[in-house]
Amino acid sequence: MEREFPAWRLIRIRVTLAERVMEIEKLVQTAESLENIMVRCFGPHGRQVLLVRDTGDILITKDGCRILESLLLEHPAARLMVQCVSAHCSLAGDGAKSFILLLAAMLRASRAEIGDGLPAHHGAQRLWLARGLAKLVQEVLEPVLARHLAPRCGSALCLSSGHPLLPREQAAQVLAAYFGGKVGPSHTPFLTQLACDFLQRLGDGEMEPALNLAANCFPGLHITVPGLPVGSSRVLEGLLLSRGFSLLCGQGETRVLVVDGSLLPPLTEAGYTLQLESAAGLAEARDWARARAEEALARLRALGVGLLLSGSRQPACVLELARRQGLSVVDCLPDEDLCLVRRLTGVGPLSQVADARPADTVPAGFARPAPLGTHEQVLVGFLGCCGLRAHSLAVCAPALGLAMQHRDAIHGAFKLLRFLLPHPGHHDRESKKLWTGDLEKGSERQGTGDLERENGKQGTGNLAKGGMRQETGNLERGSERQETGDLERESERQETEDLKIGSEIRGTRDFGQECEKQGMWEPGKAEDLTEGMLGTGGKGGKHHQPVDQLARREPWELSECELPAGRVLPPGGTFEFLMHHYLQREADSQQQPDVRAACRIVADALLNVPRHLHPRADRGRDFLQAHTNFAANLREQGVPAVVDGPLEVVAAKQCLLVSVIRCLRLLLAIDRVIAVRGKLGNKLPTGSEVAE
Amino acid sequence: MMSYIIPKMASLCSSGHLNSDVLCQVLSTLRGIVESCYGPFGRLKLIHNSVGGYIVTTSQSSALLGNLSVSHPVIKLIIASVLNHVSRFSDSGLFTAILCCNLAENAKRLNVPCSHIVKIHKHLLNICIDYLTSEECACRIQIDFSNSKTLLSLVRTVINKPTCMLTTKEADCISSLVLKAFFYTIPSVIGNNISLGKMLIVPIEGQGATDSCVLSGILIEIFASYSTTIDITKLTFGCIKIAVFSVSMSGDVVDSGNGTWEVASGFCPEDESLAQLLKVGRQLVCDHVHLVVCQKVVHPILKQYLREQQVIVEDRLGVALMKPLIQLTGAQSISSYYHPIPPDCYGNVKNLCVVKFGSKRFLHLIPNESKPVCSLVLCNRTEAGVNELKLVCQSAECVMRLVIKEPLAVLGGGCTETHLATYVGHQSQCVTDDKLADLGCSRIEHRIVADSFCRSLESTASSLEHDGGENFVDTKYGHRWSVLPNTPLHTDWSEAFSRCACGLYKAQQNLNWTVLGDRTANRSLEMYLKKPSKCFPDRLALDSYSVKLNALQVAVETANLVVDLQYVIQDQN
Repeated sequence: MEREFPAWRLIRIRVTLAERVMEIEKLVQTAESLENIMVRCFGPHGRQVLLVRDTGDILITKDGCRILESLLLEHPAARLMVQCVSAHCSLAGDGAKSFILLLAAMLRASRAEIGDGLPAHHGAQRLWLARGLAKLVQEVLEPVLARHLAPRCGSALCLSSGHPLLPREQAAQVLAAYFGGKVGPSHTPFLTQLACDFLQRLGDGEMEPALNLAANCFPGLHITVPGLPVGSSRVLEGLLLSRGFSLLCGQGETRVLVVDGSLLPPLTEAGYTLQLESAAGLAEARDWARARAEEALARLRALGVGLLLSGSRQPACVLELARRQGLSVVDCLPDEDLCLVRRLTGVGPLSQVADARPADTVPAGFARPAPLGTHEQVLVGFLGCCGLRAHSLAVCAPALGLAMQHRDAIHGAFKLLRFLLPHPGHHDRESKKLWTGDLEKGSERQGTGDLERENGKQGTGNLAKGGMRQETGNLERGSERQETGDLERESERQETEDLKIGSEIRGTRDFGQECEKQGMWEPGKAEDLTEGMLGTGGKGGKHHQPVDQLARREPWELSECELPAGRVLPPGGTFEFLMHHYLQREADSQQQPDVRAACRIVADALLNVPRHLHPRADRGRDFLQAHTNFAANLREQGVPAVVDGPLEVVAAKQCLLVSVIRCLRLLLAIDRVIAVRGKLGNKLPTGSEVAE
Repeated sequence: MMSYIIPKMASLCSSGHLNSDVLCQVLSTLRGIVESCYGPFGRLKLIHNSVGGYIVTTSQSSALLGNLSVSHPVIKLIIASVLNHVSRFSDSGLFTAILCCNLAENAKRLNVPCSHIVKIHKHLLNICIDYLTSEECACRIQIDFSNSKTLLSLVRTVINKPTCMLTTKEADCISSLVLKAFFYTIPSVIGNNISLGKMLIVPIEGQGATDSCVLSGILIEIFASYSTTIDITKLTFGCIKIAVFSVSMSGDVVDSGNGTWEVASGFCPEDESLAQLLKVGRQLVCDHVHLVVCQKVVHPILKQYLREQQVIVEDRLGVALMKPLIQLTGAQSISSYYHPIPPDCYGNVKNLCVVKFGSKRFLHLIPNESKPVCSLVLCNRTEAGVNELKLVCQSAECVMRLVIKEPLAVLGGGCTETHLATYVGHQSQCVTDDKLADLGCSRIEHRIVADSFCRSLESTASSLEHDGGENFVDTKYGHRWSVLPNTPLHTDWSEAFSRCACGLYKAQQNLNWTVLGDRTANRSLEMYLKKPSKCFPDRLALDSYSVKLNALQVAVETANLVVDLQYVIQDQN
């Protein structure tokens, strides 16, 4: 059933004036045109969109964020909105379409709220409203969620030996609802199963340890394979490296060593001069370099290393020597791969191989060429540590565009599931730091390396002045210095790393104890608890914030109530209906007029999401029906039943709401648009994103 | 530096491309182009651009679809899918494209919600896949490795493409050569890691296709005439020593470091390199090496020296030849000439000879014992012909490799498609209410979509017919039968039908043929799921099982994508 609608162009207003007033009318128009695009692929009934780039590349997607980002928008406000959406999606992995729906509805409501006064007062009105919204987020939202909404939610987590566990069925239910909106119904069951399988195998049977790794480092854990049916997607055992074997000798069980530079030292280095006077000198220097390489390889053999991973290219000469020693070599590995190896095994790249210790090597079950993929890649079966086992995901689809869609959807799924675990934002920031920290440290190390080399030059300056720089002794001494320096730095780095990991572990352990305490404490006191604190649904998964716990919190985290982790609701507008109800109640009881207005705006806007969930033909009727049913249910039973169907994560919804309100505040606070000629620097303050 | 900001055009967001009529029209245009190339009797296409220059004559999916310039985004999507399939499986590209177009076109004409169509298509695809992978599937046969008959049939179907312009005899000849060459690549000693050897294809133009041959060992093309000055017959038969260099022997000084060099006057590092090269040369002569091959360039002075010492030198072999060379000779590639060459680096071959094909001369390296490396010399009259022949031989090799992994084949000639259509039609009639509830559609919708699915399969099969003949299908086996055009209406069945399209069954009395695509006839209800007997006729049209299975899935999934599209966002810059 094809419905005709005319081709339309997005807001085309040429900015002819150097500056113009940003009117709320314009904002509403802009948001509505984006909304118009989004509703067509919103919800489980929405369909796919085909994106054609100017390069002719094709992308098939139902992902709102992807669609918005690939639109070339003329109006700066539209671009600002898209920026906000991307910032939200990079954190939450989902909710771009709901974002736009909510934003458009909130803008409409704000226009109605502001429209009464004189145009001259609009600016002040807008700011007043923005303040109200800020207060709403700070003072009203959390308590409403925790006091009123949380008791009506089920819990996806269950406690086992003091740790919050995410059972597979619950994760699958959450993902079923997510994939339904993200990729459409036909591939939902398969992708749900695939994502759960991957998490379980990556976490060695449990999902939680793998979740952070999968959400943060997914680019290194998958390959997209075009040309195969979707059903061929599968979980591969082992870590996927992005290069092929430079040398392959044996694929069986072995030990792996990671190195930084070439095993054959170059004849010269930056800052050095090689003074040549005779052929003999040159030959001697070459002999020296080769002897170093031979030494290094002999050392590796002695350590039982059968696979050498290298960040830089290894020259043919090294490969030949390695072949004699029976070593396989994978070189030219990008930094991302090396970081991932470190996260999985705890072993970082080594720069001086000659004194490698057994602790620098890691065992691997196998190393073989990857079975799928368009170019050569290697699968290394690292045994892993910290409860992780290396696994990779092969995402197949007939067209590359579809494979990319599925890849992004799965990545988003991991981000979403992370919201179920305690303190997702906190975890996220910390792990992000860890991940980027690795990279930063990598470059930093190089920097300091250069510096030290500089120092080394000064130190051996008198020797260099002597002229015969190619003497092996000097070179050796030089490299020795570097070695120790590197080693020191290595250990230093490891220490900080350990510390970080330690603190992370400690954090979760604290939480575990906390939960355990509650678990033991709850049965006796359950009756004493006020109704508002009573959890429903979860079997033993009820953990509230005890008062003494709150007292221990950091000041900035101190709020009177917090939403407990792992809360879920059935999809199809339950969250929106409930929040609408509570926020309206809140608006009635609120003393401050600005917060009251904000509550009204948000409450009304929330209904825009379930309104578009139904198919186009009978949207209005179905929506009203659903809302009436819901209200009746709420009156009669008080608590909507949590069914065994798909589930939605409340924490993600909360995050979405907060992001939208922040975007709205931003938009309300802007009064003028200034057009300039010339290029704008990319020095935008990233505060709004970081403040998450 | 001045920087300009070019205002970008806003994206165009429309569903105009997805309007049923427009879409059906472009789909049928694409189908028309592809259909006419399909099968052994397909027609060729001449592709040119109006500016002049190079033209392409082809009927192969990769060349045809890769060279088409299309503007319609949906067609782009289909072509990208097909090309992805071909790059992986190298065959059945046209089948995928035709089936996909048929499915999408038929589905677009239905008055059923898109989401239902997608679900039902997926369900029907699962029925097909389950059937094809089940043991009682009647349209797949087990490959018999004790006999070359089925293998030869399989290769012949791949080779028998219209573009190569081969006669039946030539096709038979090439097929057996490809099969023979493939057998060469199977190692005789099976160790822990089984890996197939290499089949090197050497294209020669200007000769007839029947001049093609298979040689054990490697052919290295000789460009200069000096090699003949060395009397090959003088070489010791049975043990010819070979040194394989992977390093450039041009005498350049390389250093990976980024420091500076300070060279004293009167000393030249290049001279030193050349001296090293000559030193290596002397060692080669001392070690009685007969042949020196180098992946990259050899310094002319070294070349001259070695030649004077009766050593044959061949350089600029390229990286592709290195691996088979090492495999063949047992040598190790030498990557540095600054150090003496260890004696265990040398390899050896049994014999060397110079062979001539057309205008090209080759040095033929004959291995000592059986090594899994061979050269397939392909001849054809024209350059385009040779290139096409090379492509089909490569895809034949790919198909054979897949057969080793999964020793199955499906019936060709459109019989698999008609058989599947019959089976799916039969299965869809007895769909349960549970399944319908699961799919969320009504029985009538299911019926309509299943009908369109079967029609798509059947019309894909019937597009093998290009010469105005009529397609029939029998009710017993569900195979395709082709009848010559202009056959009188009242001809006896024994005159009209002889064999089914794949060649498995002979015409019999009780087959009850109906015209293909006629969905009114209530056939297939009592379809026998009879497995084909073990003895096969000589000329059987067979398709690779893995390729067909993938092609079927890719076609249905791509069609589903096309059906599920809501609108198109186009960047107009």
